[in-house]
Amino acid sequence: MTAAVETEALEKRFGDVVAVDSLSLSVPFGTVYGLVGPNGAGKTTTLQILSGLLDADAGTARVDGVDATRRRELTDVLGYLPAEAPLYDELTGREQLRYAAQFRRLDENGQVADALDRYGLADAADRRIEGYSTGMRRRLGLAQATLHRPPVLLLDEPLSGLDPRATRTVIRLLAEVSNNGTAVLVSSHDLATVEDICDRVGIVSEGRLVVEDSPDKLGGAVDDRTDLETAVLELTDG
Amino acid sequence: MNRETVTDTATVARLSLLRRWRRALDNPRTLVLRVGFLAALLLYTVLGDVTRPPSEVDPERLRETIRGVAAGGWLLLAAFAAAGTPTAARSVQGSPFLLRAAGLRPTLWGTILGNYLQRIAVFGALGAATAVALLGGFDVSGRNPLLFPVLLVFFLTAELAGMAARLTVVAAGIRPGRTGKVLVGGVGVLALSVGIGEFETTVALLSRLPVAVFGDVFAAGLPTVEADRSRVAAAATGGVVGSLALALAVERLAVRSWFTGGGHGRAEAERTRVDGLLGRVGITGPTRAVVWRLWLQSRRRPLIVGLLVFPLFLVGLALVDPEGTDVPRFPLIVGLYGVWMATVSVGLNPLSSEGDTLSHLLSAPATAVVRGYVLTTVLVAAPVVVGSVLLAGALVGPAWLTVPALLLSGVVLLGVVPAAMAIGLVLPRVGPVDRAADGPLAPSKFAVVAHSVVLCLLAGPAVLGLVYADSTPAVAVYASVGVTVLAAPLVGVVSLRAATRRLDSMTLG
Repeated sequence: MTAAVETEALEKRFGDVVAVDSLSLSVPFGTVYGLVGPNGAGKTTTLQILSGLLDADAGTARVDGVDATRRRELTDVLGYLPAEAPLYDELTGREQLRYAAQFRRLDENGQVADALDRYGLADAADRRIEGYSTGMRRRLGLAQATLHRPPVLLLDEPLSGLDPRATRTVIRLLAEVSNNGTAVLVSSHDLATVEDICDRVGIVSEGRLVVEDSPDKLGGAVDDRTDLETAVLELTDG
Repeated sequence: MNRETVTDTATVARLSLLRRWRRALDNPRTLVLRVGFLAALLLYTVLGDVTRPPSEVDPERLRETIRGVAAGGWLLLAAFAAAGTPTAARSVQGSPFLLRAAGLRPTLWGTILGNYLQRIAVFGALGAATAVALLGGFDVSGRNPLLFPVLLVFFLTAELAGMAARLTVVAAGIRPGRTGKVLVGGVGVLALSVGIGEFETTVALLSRLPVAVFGDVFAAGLPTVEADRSRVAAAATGGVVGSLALALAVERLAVRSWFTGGGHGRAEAERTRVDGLLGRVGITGPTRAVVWRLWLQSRRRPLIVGLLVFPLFLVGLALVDPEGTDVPRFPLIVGLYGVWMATVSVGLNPLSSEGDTLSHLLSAPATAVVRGYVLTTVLVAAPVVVGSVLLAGALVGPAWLTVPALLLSGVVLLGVVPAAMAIGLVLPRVGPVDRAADGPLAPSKFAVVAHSVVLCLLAGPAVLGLVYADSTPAVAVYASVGVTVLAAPLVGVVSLRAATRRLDSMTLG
């Protein structure tokens, strides 16, 4: 069966800086995969390559079997939420989703209303996005990324800057999406949350995948009694 | 381009226009000001005497001039297009959304279309009225049915050629740094001002360029000019074919350059480098933070344009004027302009906040913050002032004034920079700086006026003394210069203390 996300010997350089170095990973459908590592480890670059926003220098990246350089086909199989949700402050939440629906030839009223309801934004739907809180922006971004119900979802730091209530809401929504068979690839600094929601975790350092396993087994990669946070610190210590 | 792509392109353009319209409505004062300005221009154009056709001009010379002006206009349009071309996917606002949802082609062409439609919406009324008045006056449209289609491809080819040129450079891996861009821009501005100054020669040269054929179409409708049919046909067919070819090239080049991620990480690397440099010369702690923040601000595009373009343009114009310039004591005036512009741009709005820096600023020791501001403003102003004065002295003259102008501008700078800081703290304009918009760090208008008055009062005696040096006793000239030389440091010291006290009170309050 085709993996939801697959990279093979992926490489990306920015001048002298190696951002991604021979990165190979595979994420099955219905899995929440956490990509963790320090700043500059190459997590965002990997997600950008997978989402077709950046070309790799070498190696391959596929999403649901579609090569990441085939951008037109990629739009149907992929939902992507960067760290800064791509929203237009001048629009209302409803308008933002309506544009997304128009581009994807979806039902502008039914599916948009459903998404607003599901992501708890129905009451704020007709307010300008510039007045939204960080949590509301993140939920709207998530609603936009999942509006066309893609089989693969890429999320860059989806929990960064959220308060505990908003964090819980986003985690619940991610669980719902994953239970429907969607593969979710999450990059995050929040190791406690990664431990909670991810089925598998890959630790990245200096562009390389150092180790990957289930969160509870990853601690054992260093020591039998080590937790995930300590494991990440030990394994990425430069 | 299939039907879906066309629909998506239109949707991207509509989205772009809706956002701009809402932004315009958010700033009703600016909107009213712009509409008022355009309305005034419109009335002047329609009611004024600007539509009278030239009657006593040699037809051949007129055609040559129109050819040259058309080519010059085309090159200018292409240059502006090149400067504004998005060279990376992230330069297009909302690109992760648009590229993912609509795809590259609608994102590229929809954004461009949105820009054009906005220009048409803003200048539409004026343009339409001008066109109707001019065409009515010259009876051009009746004589030349090709005019409007060719006008369209004239704009289109210029825009696409500029974009293609810029994307070709980027696709070749050449990404000039800030210094390179400023140098290229500076040379461009000098060339423009020299071109305007040497109008006849420039027009003769430009009229030999291939794009000058557009001028033949514009000239063909004039009653006194005989049309060159082969060149008119070349303009029409070449324009259409060229537009299509250029559009294809732009799209391919965008695919090659938008997703390479060039320039990524440059800011972080630069920060490390500048941090190290500042540390080596003993600038540390909050002062270093303030210097870094101001260094970032000082390189915003409007500042560079304000600081460099005007003096360069003046120097260029004065250079080609056989009688020099009408501005008395040119090097000194240019130097003082540099002082004024740099302080208004950098030092006069200390409480504007880039990111969340305001709270850090207010919690740092006031002396360190003030020192950081003064130092950076001087660092930004010094090269501008020195460069402008040297250029003005060497190329325009009088050469003997170069050194006195440098010294006087320097002395005035030392007084005006702390004064600007103090004024900016008394008359602040607090607000976040929109980094994405690369907009100006506009200080309060009252602060600008107060600062200008201080500059005039400080520099005034020396300027007046030197302007009237020929008709004034030498003692009076020395005395007037002496007043400025003595008063500037005094104002500087007093302002430094005032600024520190003010900032301290804000920290404590």
